[in-house]
Amino acid sequence: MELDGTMKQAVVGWDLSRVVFRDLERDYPVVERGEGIYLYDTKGRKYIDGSGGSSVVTSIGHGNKRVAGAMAEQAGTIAFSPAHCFANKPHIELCNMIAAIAPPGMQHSFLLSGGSEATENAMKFARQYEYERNNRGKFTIIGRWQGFHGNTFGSMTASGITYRRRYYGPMMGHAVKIPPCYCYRCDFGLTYGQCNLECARALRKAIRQEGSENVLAFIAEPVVGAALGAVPAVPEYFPLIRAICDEQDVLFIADEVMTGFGRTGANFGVDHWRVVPDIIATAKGISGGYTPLAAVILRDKIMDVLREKHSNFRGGHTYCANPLSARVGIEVLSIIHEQKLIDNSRRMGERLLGGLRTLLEHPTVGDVRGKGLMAGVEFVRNKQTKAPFPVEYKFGKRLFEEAFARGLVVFAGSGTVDGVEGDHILLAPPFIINETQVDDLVRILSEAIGAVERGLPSDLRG
Amino acid sequence: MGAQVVRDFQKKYPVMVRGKGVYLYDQAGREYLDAVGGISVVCIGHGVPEVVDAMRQQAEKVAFVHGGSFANEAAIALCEELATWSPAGMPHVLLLSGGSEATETAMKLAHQYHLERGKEGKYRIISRWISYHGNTIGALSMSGRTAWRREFMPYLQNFPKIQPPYCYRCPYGKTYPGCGIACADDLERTITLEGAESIAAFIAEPVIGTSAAGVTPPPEYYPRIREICDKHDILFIADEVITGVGRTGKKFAIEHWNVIPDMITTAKALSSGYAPLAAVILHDKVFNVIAKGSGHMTQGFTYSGHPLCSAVGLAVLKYIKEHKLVENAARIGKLLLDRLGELKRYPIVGDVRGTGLILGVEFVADQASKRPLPPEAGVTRRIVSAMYDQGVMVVPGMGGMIDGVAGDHIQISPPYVFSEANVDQLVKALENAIQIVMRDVAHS
Repeated sequence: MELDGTMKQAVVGWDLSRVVFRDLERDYPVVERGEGIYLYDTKGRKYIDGSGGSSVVTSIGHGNKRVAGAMAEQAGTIAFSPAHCFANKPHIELCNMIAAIAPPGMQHSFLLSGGSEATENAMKFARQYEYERNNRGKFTIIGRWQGFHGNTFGSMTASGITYRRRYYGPMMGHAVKIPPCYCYRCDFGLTYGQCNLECARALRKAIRQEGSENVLAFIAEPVVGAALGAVPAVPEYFPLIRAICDEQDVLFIADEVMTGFGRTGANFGVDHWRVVPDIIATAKGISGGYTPLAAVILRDKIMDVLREKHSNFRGGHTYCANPLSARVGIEVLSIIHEQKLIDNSRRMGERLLGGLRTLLEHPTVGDVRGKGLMAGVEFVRNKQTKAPFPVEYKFGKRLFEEAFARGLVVFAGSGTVDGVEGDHILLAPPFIINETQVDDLVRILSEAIGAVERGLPSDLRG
Repeated sequence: MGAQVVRDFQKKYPVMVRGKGVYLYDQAGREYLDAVGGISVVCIGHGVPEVVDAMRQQAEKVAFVHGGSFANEAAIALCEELATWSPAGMPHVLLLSGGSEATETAMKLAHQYHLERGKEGKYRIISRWISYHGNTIGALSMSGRTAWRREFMPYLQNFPKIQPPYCYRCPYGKTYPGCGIACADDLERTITLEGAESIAAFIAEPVIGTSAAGVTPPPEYYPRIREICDKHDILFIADEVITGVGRTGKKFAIEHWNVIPDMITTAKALSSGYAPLAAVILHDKVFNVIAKGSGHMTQGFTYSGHPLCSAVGLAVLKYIKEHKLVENAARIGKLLLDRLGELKRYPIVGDVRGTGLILGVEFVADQASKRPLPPEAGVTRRIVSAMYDQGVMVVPGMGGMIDGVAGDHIQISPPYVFSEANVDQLVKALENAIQIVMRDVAHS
């Protein structure tokens, strides 16, 4: 078969020309099967899934027969039922399971199919709540630079991920961004302990400048994922954010698309800060990737107002509350609970972070951070000055390929410093990972970093 | 249902426990004829063993892998198969998880196409009033659905809307064919007024979905649209989220007009509801510009090219082909349209329209003047609920298809496996419902 333009045939026997990939110039090996933390391609090569399906999704591991069985049983019973006239049992049961582990006073869930749907619907719930309270001027969302909340226009407007926003500038709405809580490269040039938490206080300033009568909500990831590489906020950060939001009558949306359901070693990321947000948007780990599934979890006060005003929710999508995905969610959460995988996530997370800290011996490893099984490594050209590599050197992509060639899948990101410069990787293996596998992961990663370092041209060394 | 947030907080929802073919069963064992396909989604029927098997096999092999690092067999096979369904010159497929993701992705690609050709000012999308292209903010910006836009207006893009090709209530007060297809020419006038240099694409549902179910433009409409788009260097996106993959009795609805769009968005029937799945299908013209330009797409989502959902899609497409269900959709659709047409003998039935298995019935206070029923009479709700009491499910059409506020209609979009007997049951239930509602409204 004739192949088109830059599209290449990566595997003999498979014509990839009809598939539109994100990177049109990369050769993609074809994955054949997965088992536990491992993936196998059609040539029989084995990979450690070091980043949860490469974007912090896989929670219980691949090829789980119990989930496959439940899914098939549900599809044979009822896979899709019209949500405008019926409820369905898996939907009800999953919402109850979420309520049991959600922060106190957050007893209501709305189910969806992906992180972008979850954050957009979280904003819509917030907007509808304020609209019904007659605060109709409140619409502005405040997000953070180097925060990622999704790839639809509403969620991207709230996101501070320069690379994904670049093409679409004129198509995006109005949203305000404050700096992230990112001590390794503090926007205020301060040092934690003597910083007065200026990064959190920036929220109060932004609300007052914008006018709190216009500001709807603040959205943040408890541990910043894709755009910064697993940067958790300092312990005082979210309590102060909560206080500012309360004082200024602004809702706080926790984007837990990556951090929900045990990824950080607690049920939800915000649990580490003992803070209760007004809305949680969550996805990925809830289905472990077996089907597209997401949820918006609401504080009682929001549901109370919508009920009282008979204000039917105007959001929602075709696959909201579909029985098949809900059933998958039930099985995945049951497995996480029965096998105590959140404990394992916490314990293995500590081991992973410890292992990664040994990589600080590499001349290019500038910082190592994380929470539970969500860890990040940031790379620099010079450790003292923290100077990044030139963008065109594509350090992250090189490291990704070196790790990939050695059988380890990582999630590489760029723009760590200022949206443009800077390289990091995100690690987020499945919660079922064991000690030996954590050590393997760290060893392979160390070898891959060594290989990239050996290949550095002399002008980029130190 | 304590923890569960539903869309309508006032309503008591019966709990659905099982489905088989065109029937659904609730907890109390009641049987319902699914004449909506779960809102135009279910096409091959409920509980099909071939899909269940494909799902189980794929979940045991690999349910999920991220498209950033790996290709996967199921996604490749589905793209290859879908490329054989799409119109000529449209062999490139991008897989996603739902209609809103698909239309937003098409919107981004339209802008990227122009950007890579040095026309960075072209980013706005023209669409039509009385339309629906999804519920995320970009998609909602394109949707001409007044009731769903209201609370979210500050977030919506300033995208122009033209009048719909809605002959029963022609926005220009004209009559086809003497009208000269003024509604299509409205696109050209809008482009000129707004400035072609800011317009990336025009998006339309070839046959209108839930906003005015079954409204089908005349034969000259899309050829004229295509011509206008070409003349002004504007892409034409056919939003076939509802109509794609056989619902109108052809593989894609736009084939009824022998027109080839630049992009097709499609979803619902693609997986028959067994898993969230959608696709954007690209014409060579668009794909080649990007592939030979930046070579990079920033449009993906976590579940783009999801192996499990792809395996489901492939099993559904095979099932449709093997059982000749596109042909059945055409045949049963025609029968259903004829039978529904007979209901015009009731004075509240104003219009009956549709192509294949996406049909609508519009209700009026007076057939001659087409005067709408008062919104507070709730005729749509009453009809749907009277049918429901007889165990038949149809979709209440979005109110407001006349002017954004008034208008009563129902949408009928059954699975493609619908039989003659199912048509009888449906039409009989609707006829009874019309009689009940006429009596109730007369007495109230």
